[in-house]
Amino acid sequence: MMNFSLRSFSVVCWFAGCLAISSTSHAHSPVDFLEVIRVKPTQVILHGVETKSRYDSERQESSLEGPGYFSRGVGAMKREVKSPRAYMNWFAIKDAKPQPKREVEVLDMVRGAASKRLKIGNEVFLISPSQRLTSGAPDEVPEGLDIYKAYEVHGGAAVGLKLEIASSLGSGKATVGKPVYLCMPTQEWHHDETFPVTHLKDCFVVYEIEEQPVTSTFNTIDQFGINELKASSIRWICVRAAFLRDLGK
Amino acid sequence: MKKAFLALAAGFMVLAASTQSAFAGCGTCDKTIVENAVASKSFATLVAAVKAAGLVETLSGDGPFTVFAPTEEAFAKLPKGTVADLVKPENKDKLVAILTYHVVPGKVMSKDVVKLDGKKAKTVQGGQVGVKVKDGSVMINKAKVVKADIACKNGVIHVIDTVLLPKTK
Repeated sequence: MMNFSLRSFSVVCWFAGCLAISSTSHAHSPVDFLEVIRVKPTQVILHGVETKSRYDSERQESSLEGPGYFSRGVGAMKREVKSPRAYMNWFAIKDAKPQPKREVEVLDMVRGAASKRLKIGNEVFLISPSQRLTSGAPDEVPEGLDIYKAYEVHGGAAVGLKLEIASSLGSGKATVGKPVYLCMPTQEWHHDETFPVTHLKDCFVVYEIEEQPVTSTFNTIDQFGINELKASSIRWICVRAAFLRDLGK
Repeated sequence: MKKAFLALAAGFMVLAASTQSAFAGCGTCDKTIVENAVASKSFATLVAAVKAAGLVETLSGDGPFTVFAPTEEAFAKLPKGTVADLVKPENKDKLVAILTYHVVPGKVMSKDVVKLDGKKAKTVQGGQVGVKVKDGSVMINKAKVVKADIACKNGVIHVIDTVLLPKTK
């Protein structure tokens, strides 16, 4: 009886969390889930840009290398692929300034309202929207997709939720493991272009899943030009989330 | 007066520092198209041709220009002796026409090039080049863009695998 009550309560909490994300704080996100794929680019980009996220007191130089990962919109948890044109290229941030560990509250779609706290540390990736090049002019980047910095997550517990992933390049099945990164929107300056943050509270939590080998080659275009990417495995799943508050260092 | 001068000087220093910082780590942004081409082994023939055509000063100017730069391999695809003939003084007009056919006025980054799919872009030579996005590749006439968006102080270079030849009048 007790077990049943606890389970019911957690289901209600999870449902309430999803409802909260869906109805209010995240109406602008063009994507619910992204699968993150390890890739090898034909041309490794080594480039410096300036960035500023909520955890940078001022604009700072970020030396980028990559892309080492690529993400694409997928469907999960009975949600269709919201925007199949949501693509992102992931660049490693080299020589990033060490960040203090911070505790934050984030409401995401898999952990729901029952578990909102994450402890984050250093920035690891800069994630930039990209476009798939096939034939004809590529689709525009969906509105609401910003540039993000991925901060490593410390000590998050595995979720254990089994997902059926629609439009996956892999088997379409995954078990959600530990949260590994929190992706926070970031302003960026690159040459004479400025990429603003359009939605300060939109973020993503990246979770481990079982690594699945895939074979695929495709071309993308991003702020650094055209690149051919060879995919080797699906590595993580990115889940949309709403940033609630900082709990301090 | 001295304070005002110092404040002005400090302002300029901040401006200079922020401008420099915005380009830091780019590697090519603080050099002209010609300087970047000279610095790369991939463009030895192109650089020699630009010098022979007397276009160094133009392509080192303010621009901005978009240059579709053929690689060494692209020049190697031309019939044997073509380049040697073109760099002869008596063929300078022809060489200028070919080289300026690779230049489009303005700074057109790859994200804007792909929007021109199925359209044409007017070159400095006066002729037009066709832009096509096909099977994940960007084609300029029959040349494939093999590297895009090499940002320069006075424009941008897109590297192509085939020399573009304008229609002869």
